[in-house]
Amino acid sequence: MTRDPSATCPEDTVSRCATGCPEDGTAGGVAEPMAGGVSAGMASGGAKLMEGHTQGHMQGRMPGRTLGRMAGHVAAFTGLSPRLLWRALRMAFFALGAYRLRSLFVVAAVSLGIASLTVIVAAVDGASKKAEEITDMFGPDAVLVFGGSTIHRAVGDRNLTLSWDDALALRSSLPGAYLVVPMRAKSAVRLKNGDANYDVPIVVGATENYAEAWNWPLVEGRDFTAEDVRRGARVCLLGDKPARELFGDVSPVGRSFLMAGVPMTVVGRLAYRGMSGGGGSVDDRLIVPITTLTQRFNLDRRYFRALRVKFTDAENIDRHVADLTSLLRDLHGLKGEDPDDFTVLTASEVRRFLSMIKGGLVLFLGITAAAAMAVGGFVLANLFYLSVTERRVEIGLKKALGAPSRAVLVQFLCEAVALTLLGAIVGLLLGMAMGQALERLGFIEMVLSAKVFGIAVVASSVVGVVFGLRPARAAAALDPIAALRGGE
Amino acid sequence: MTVSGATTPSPAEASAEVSAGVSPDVHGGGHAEALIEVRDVWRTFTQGDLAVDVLRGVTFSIRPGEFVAIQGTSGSGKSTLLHILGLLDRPSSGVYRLAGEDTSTLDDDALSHRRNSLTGFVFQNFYLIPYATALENVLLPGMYADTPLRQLRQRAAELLDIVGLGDRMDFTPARLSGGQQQRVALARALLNDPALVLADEPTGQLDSATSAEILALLGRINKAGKTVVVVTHDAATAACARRRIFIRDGVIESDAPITPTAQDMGTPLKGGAGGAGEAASDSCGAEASVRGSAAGESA
Repeated sequence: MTRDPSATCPEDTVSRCATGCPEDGTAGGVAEPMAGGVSAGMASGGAKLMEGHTQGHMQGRMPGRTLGRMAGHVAAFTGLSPRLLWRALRMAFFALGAYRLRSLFVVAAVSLGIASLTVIVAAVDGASKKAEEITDMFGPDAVLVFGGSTIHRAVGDRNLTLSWDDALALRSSLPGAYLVVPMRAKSAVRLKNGDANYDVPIVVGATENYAEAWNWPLVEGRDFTAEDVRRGARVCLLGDKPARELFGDVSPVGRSFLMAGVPMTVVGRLAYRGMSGGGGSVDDRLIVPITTLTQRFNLDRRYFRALRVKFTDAENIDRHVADLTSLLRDLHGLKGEDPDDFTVLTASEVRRFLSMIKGGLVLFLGITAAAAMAVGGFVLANLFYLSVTERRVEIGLKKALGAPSRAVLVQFLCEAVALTLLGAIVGLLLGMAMGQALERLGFIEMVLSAKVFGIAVVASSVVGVVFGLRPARAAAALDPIAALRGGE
Repeated sequence: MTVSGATTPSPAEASAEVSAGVSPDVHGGGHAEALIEVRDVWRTFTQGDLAVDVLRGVTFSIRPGEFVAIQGTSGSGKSTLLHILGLLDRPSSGVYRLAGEDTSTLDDDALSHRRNSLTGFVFQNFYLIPYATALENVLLPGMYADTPLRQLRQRAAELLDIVGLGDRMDFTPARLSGGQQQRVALARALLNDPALVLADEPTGQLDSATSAEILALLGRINKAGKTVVVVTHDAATAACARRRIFIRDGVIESDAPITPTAQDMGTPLKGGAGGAGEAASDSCGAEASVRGSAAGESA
């Protein structure tokens, strides 16, 4: 490299050549463009900076006005300009990407909490919905009487206390009652139609008016007659599920199949009720005359399990229940202090029972979810303290380069909340998957709503802020000198 | 680096650019207002009952465009002084005025803001963020300035080009040598166009050849109008500055311009074979000769 010593500005290039600098191609080579470039860059950069300042103050660079205004509020709260706030957020995401494994742990921990929360909220909503359906089906104008007391049942007490005589007495002398249908059931019975085999979970024995007593219309055919019941006719009403299983799309009415080896003729088909999942489907049943059931399966012929009583009106249901109770007590010869040997279930009682179950669900699952969220929070706090310690140099450096403490605080808080929000999304997906699985297994009924999403987002943000605040404060309070010295 | 050497503009052009870019303060030689004014600064650290005076009444001032080395042994108080100059620490007593502003009146936010806009830091250990690229590292001080990111990016790229790392902007620090990392740090120090560049043992982790490059770069930065203050224990490093403040036991022992004659003491070495030690003094020797010839002309 030859240099012209007569350059107008003699400094440095001249001397460099004069001294025969051995690193001419290296240090010197770099130095020349640098010297020119620095000055040029500085001049233009300075102008740009000035420009940038005015422009920066005139308008934030947030997309959309509302977002800008929102950022303005947050900015006022944190004392950072929208631009710095936006950058703190960007740096937070950048750092999260850099510490992937740690981020993964926090997300995993939080997502488990959110997943359980999702399942719980959805399950509770599902339980409410199901309770509505059950109460609807039960009907506000009817009761179900069980033999035996669910409150007082001494060991060895019989729960078969309802007899034919009771049913007949209620039919003839209970005011307001217009349908009395005694029932009993047999579970898991093999049905067979040609090559089609099906194990129906429940076969219900009832009398005529079963369909009406349960507000359950027949889509085709007819109900039993009193005659069918009297002579134990081999006729049946088919629920939607076994009808499909045995006859496919063909109308089953008038056709026959074998119930535990006994030929049965279908006289009617119950409408599809399709109550939402959990605890099996109500459509999966077969109804036969109660006499037929007791004869074919050799069950007790005097007593039955339950009585469905339907009244003419729903308004006076309380009085009807009182009448029914006193009549039954009378029939059973109970006096004074004797406890009832039967249980009367009304729609409101069903509702109360269901909400009790729901309450238990909320309580136990709620405790689980709270614990899971707290665990997620502690994992977050723990890992963030570790992060603050590990990133001392980075924090010290940023402060040395002019980051205000608040910017450091906001960055760490953003990291925490971003992770918990990510945890919320993963948790929601996980929760939905878990819910689907539980629903398929028939444990619970899930209802997913915006509420679930909202709760997950709010809960995770709260965990992020609450558990992230202390580590973030610790980071913001770091003395840059000590932090940088500690990094050596 | 050799690549950029090949594209070096002609000396005349380069020199013209240098002189165009340099603020009049540097060559004007007039008594411009001091950029740094330190008056009777004390810094006392207490450990338990024990009070240690690390700085004991330090007074000096630095004009814009100066290149000052603060030299002292370990424990002399030079690092503490640098921390005070860089607004990372406050004097226990005494006055520190930066750009005419009494820093004792500034709250923490104001200090952060001044650090960001007025000073650029270079550290012995480079302190680059390991998970960020060279470009992103250079951008860092800009993240706390109210400058649009697009401008910052452009400027960061220019600066990396200038320090000879234009082709390594996307490299993370792990893929850069020590010298290259320090170049990134230098570019970072310049991003917000600060008046003052503070370097704390900038060559402490580098071999002598690389040290020479970094010192040469600091020299260029100074020539471009920046006030540069280097803290070092190393006499050879200090010799690259134009003024040396020697500090011992918390007081200034000497404060004098580095005269061409003093620097020429290094010249005999230049004839010898290019050892590591020589490379360092060569670089500074070159700087010294620059000033020598410059002084000769102006005289």
